[in-house]
Amino acid sequence: MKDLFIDTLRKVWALRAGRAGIVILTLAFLSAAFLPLITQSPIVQANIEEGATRPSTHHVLGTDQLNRDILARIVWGGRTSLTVAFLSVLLSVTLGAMVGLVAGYHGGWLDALLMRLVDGALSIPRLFILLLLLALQQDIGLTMFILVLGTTGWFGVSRIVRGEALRLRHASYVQAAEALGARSHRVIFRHLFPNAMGPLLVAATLGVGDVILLEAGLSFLGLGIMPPTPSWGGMIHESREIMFTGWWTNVFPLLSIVITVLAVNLVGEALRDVLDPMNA
Amino acid sequence: MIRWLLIRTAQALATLAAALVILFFLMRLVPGDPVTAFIGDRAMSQADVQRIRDRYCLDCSLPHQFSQFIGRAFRGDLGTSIQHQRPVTQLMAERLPATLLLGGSTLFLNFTLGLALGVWQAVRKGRTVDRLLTAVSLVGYAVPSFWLGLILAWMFAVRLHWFPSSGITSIQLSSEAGPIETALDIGRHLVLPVVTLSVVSIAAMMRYQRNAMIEVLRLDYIRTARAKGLAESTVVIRHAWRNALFPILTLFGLWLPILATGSVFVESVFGWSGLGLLATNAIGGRDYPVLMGSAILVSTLIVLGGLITDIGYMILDPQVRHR
Amino acid sequence: MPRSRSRIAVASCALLLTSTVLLPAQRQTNDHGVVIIATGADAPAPVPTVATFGTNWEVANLLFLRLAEMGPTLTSVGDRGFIPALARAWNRRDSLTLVFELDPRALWHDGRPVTAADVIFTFARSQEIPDLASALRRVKSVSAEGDHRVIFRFVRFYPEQLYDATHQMLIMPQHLLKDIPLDSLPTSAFAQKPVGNGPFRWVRRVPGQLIELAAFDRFFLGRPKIDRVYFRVASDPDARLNLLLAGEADVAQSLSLPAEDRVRQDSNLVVTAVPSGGITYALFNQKANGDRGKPHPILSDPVVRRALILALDRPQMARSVYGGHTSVPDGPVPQMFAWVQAPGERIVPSDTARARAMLASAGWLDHDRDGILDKNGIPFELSVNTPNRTPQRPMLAQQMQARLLPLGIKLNVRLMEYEVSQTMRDSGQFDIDMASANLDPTPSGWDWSWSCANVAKKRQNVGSYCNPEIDSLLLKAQSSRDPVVHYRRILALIRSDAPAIFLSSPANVIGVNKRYASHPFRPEMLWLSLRHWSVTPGQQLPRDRVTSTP
Repeated sequence: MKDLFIDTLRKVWALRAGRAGIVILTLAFLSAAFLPLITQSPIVQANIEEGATRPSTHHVLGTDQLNRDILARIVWGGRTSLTVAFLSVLLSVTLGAMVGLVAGYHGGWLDALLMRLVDGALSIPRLFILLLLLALQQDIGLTMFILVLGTTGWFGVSRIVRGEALRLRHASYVQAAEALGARSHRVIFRHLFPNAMGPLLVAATLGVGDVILLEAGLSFLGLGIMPPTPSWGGMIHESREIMFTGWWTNVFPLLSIVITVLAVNLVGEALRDVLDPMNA
Repeated sequence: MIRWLLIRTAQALATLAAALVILFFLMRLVPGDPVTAFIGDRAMSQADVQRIRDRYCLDCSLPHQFSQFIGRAFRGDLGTSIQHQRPVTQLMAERLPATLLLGGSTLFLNFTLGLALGVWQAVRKGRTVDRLLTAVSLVGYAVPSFWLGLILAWMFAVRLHWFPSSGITSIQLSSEAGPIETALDIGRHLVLPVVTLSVVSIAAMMRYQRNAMIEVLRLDYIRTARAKGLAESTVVIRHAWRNALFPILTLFGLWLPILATGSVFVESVFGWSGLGLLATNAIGGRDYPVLMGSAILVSTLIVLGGLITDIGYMILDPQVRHR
Repeated sequence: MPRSRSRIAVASCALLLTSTVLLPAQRQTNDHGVVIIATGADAPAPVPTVATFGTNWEVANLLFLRLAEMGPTLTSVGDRGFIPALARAWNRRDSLTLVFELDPRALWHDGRPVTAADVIFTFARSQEIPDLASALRRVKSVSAEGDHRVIFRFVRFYPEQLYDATHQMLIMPQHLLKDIPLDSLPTSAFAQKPVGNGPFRWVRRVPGQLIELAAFDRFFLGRPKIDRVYFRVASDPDARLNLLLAGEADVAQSLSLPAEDRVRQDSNLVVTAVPSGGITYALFNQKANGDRGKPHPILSDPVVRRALILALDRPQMARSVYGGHTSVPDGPVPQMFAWVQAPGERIVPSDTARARAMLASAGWLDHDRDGILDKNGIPFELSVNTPNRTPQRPMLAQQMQARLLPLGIKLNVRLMEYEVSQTMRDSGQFDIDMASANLDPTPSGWDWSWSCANVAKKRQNVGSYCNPEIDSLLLKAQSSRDPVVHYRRILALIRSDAPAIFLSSPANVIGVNKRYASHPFRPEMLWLSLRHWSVTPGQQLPRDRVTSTP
C-alpha cells in the first residue's frame, strides 16, 4: 500500500502538470503550517478608525474592515480552509465512492435501497440538517465539523460513481474477473474503482472549491469556525460590503481559493493519467 | 421493462413520501419559532402572539398537525404562509415561473455549451485551448456566486447600463405590452443572473464531460473507427460521445432540482424573486407551510431526477437492464 | 405596540432639522415626475388593519389618510401641534369630548365622498385588532352628527387624546368594506386593488416586482406634484443599492456605511440622514447562562458591568461601523426621541485604567498569570451571541473582543443564525447578546425591555435586569403632564445600573436622486411627505414624462 502510494506520487511528479500542482499545494500547506509562527497575529486591530487600508509597505496586502492585516489572515486562514477542505472532501469522496460502487456493482435490492436513501437524503435541505446539529450542540470542534461536512457531502458523488459502476459492470475485464471467481470486493477494488477514478477526481477537485466556500456560509450560521479565527471563505463573506471600496479585502482571499482549486485540479489530472488502467 | 418501470416508480413515490414525512417532523426540531420570527423586533402582546399561534394550530399536537396537513394537501391546499399571511400555493405559483426561467436557462446553457466545451477540451486535450478553458472554468467555479453577481451587476448595470441591475421586468413595461415586447424585456433582465449562475456551475459539466470523453476516446473501437478513415467529427459525435454520456445523465438527475430551487444568492443579488429566495427565507423564518410546499416540489424533482437517470442509463446501455 | 403606530410624546428640536414644515399645497403645478422607491419587501395587501409594518404599511400610508397628521414638531400632547388632513378642523366640547369637522371635499378614489360613517366604521374595525384596540383603549365611543361631524368621547382626560384619535387610524371606506369580514380582508379583492382617500391611488402590483401608484387628480388638499410612485422590490440590500446607483431607482433607505460611501461618490445622488428608532446594544445577562435561578457569576455585579462599558471607546466603535450619522447614548435612546436626554448631556468617556481598577476592586485579578482575569478560580470569559443578520453586529462584537482582551477579558464571539440566537436569548442562554431593536418613538415603551414586570418574558426583558424604581417611574410618567423628568430619572438609573453596553443609535441613512427640487422625509413614516416632492424643471429624466393614466 505504501509502495503503491510512493510509486503513484513518483509518477505524478514525472508529469509537468502534476509537478506544478504538487509544488503549489506543498507550498500552500507549508505556509499554512509554519508561516503563522512568524507573521503578525490575524486578530490585531491596529487602528480601528482607519478600517480597510490599501496594500502598503506596512501591510503588503492591505487591511480588512477591522484594520487587520490581510496577509496574516490569509496565512492563518489557510490552516482552517485547507484542513477543512481536504479532510472533508477526502471523507465525502471516499464515502460516495464506496456507496456508489457497491450499489452499482451489486444492483438489485441493495442498489435500490442505497440509492433511494440517497434520494431521500438529497431531499432534505442540508441547511436544515446543519441547523438541527446547531440545536443539539453549539460548540462543535474542528474534527466534528469536518465529519459533518464529509458525511453530508457525498450523496451526489455516490450517484455519479454508481453510474460509472453500472456502465463498467458489463465491461469484458469485469466479466472475465468474475468468471475466474474473483470475490466481489476484489472486483470492486481492483477493477471498478480504478476505472471510476476519473469522475471521482473531478468530484474531489470541485469539492475542494465547494467546501471552502461552504465553510464560510456555515460559520455565518454559527457552525464551525468562529471569529476572530480567519478562513478564506469567511474573509470574502465578511468583506462583502466593501468589495468595491476595498477590493483588496476580498480579491486576495479569492485568489488563494482559486490557486488552490487549480493546483488540486493539476494533481487530479495527473493522477487520473497515472492511474488510468489503460496506461498501465 | 414495464414491470421494472412500475417498481422503480413505486420506489420513487415511497422515497418521496418518506422524505417529506421525515422533513415535516424534522423541521419542528430546529430551534426557532415561526411566530416570533414573523414578529421580529416589533413589540406584540402575548395575547396577539397566542392569536397567531392558534390560527396556525402551532400548539396542536404534531400528529394532529400532520394529519391536517395531509388532509389539506390532497385537496391541493398547502396551508397559509405565516410570514406572508397568504396561501402557499398562491405564493409559489407567483414565483415558480421566474425560477423555472432562471433554472431552465442555466440548465440549458450547461447542457449545451457546457457539454460542447467539455467535448472540445477532450478532443484537444493538453493543448492551449484545453488548458485555457480549464483555468477559466475553474476560476469561475471557485468564485462565490454572490461575488460574481455583484461584480457583473456593477460592470454591466451600474457602469455600462447594458442590462438592468435587478428585477424581472422593468417598470416602464405596461401591463398591455405585447408578448414580444414582454419577452424582450424579461430577456434583458435574465442575462446577468443566467450568466452568473452558469459561470459558477458550468465548470462541473465541462470537467465531467471532458473526463468521460477522454476515457472513451482512447478506447480500441475509437482507434478502429479512426483507422477506418472516418471523419474525426463523425468519430467524436457518433461513436464516442454516446458512450461518454453516463456521468452527464447522472448530473442531469442531480441538477434537475435547480428548476425549483434556482440559486438563492443569484436570486437575491439580482432581485429575481423566485422560489429559491422564498424557500430560504422560509427556513430563516421557520415558515413551516412554505417550507413543506417547496420541499414537495424540490423532493419531487430530486426523485424524478433519479428516475430519469436510471431510464437514461438503460436507453444508453441496454445491458444495464438485463440483470 | 407596533412601532409604526408611533406615539411621540414631546416636541423635539432635533426633529425640526429633518422634517420639513408641511405647507398645504394648493397650487396645482405641471411638474410631472416619478419617484421609484427601492424597497425590501412586496406589499400584497396594503390595507390598514391588515398592514401594520413593512412595505404594506408604507404603501397604505400613501393610499389612506388620517383625520389629522402630526405637525413638524411631532408633538403628541395637546390639540395644537397637528395639521388638518381628513378633518379640516376640530374643537372641544369638554375635557372628554373632541369634535372633528370632516373636510367635505375629501373623496374616495372611486369618487364617493368621505363621511362620518367611514370614521365610525374604522373605529369599530380597529376594536377587532388586539394591538389597535389596546392603543385605542381610552377612547370610549365614536359617533356622528350628520355626514361630516365626528365626535370622539374619552374615558378620562389625558394630554394625548387628539393623538390617539388621529394617529392610530387610517380611515377606511365603509361602503366597500362593510361586507368583507376581517379574516378574509387580506386575500380579498379589495386588498388586491385598494381604494383609499389619500394623495395617491392604486394602479397595479406585479407580484414580487413592483407596486405602482398614481397621483389622485381630485385629491382635496392639492394634487401631488409627482405623477407616479413605484415601489421596486429587491430583498437584498446590495440589489437595492445597485438599483439606486444604476439610476433605476430614485430613493433607497437604510444604507450601510459602505453603501453610503458609494452613494456619495455618485454625482447624481445625495445622502440624507433621518432620525430612526433603532438602537444597538450588548445586553448583559444578569442571571447565569442557561439558568435563570442563579445570578450570573460575573455579570451580576454592577461594578463589573460599569467597568466593561468604561473599557470601550464606544463613539469610536460606532463611527467605524455606522459612520458619522450615529449617536451614542448612555441608555436605550434612539435618535427619534433624543430629546429625552438632558440638553448637552455627555456620555461617560472611556477610561481603560479606571476600568482595570474597578475590576480589581471587584476582585477580578490575574491570579494564575494566564493573561485572563479570574476570581475564586472562575476565569473572566464570556460568550457573545451575535446574530448574523446584519454585518454591523458581528463587527461590533469583534471590536469588543479585540479591545477587552488586553484587559484580561476573554470574549468568545458566537455568530448565529438569527432565529437560533433569538431562541437562546429568550431562554436566557447567553452571557452577552448583541441586540438591536426598533423602538416606539416614545420612552413609554421602555417597560418592554427594562422593567421588572417583564423580566424573563420572551423577546422582552431577557437579561433579567430589575430595578423596581424604574417600574414606578414609568407608571408616573404615563399619567404626568410633564413626563420628561421621570424619563431622565430612569436614564440616570440605567446609567448607574449598566444593564447593557449601549453601542449606537444610528440614523436612517437615505440616498436620493438629485433631480428633486425638494424631498422632505418624515421620521415617523418617511413617505408621508411624498406628495410635496417635485422634480426640478429641466432636470426630468425620460421616465418622468410618463403621462398616460389608465
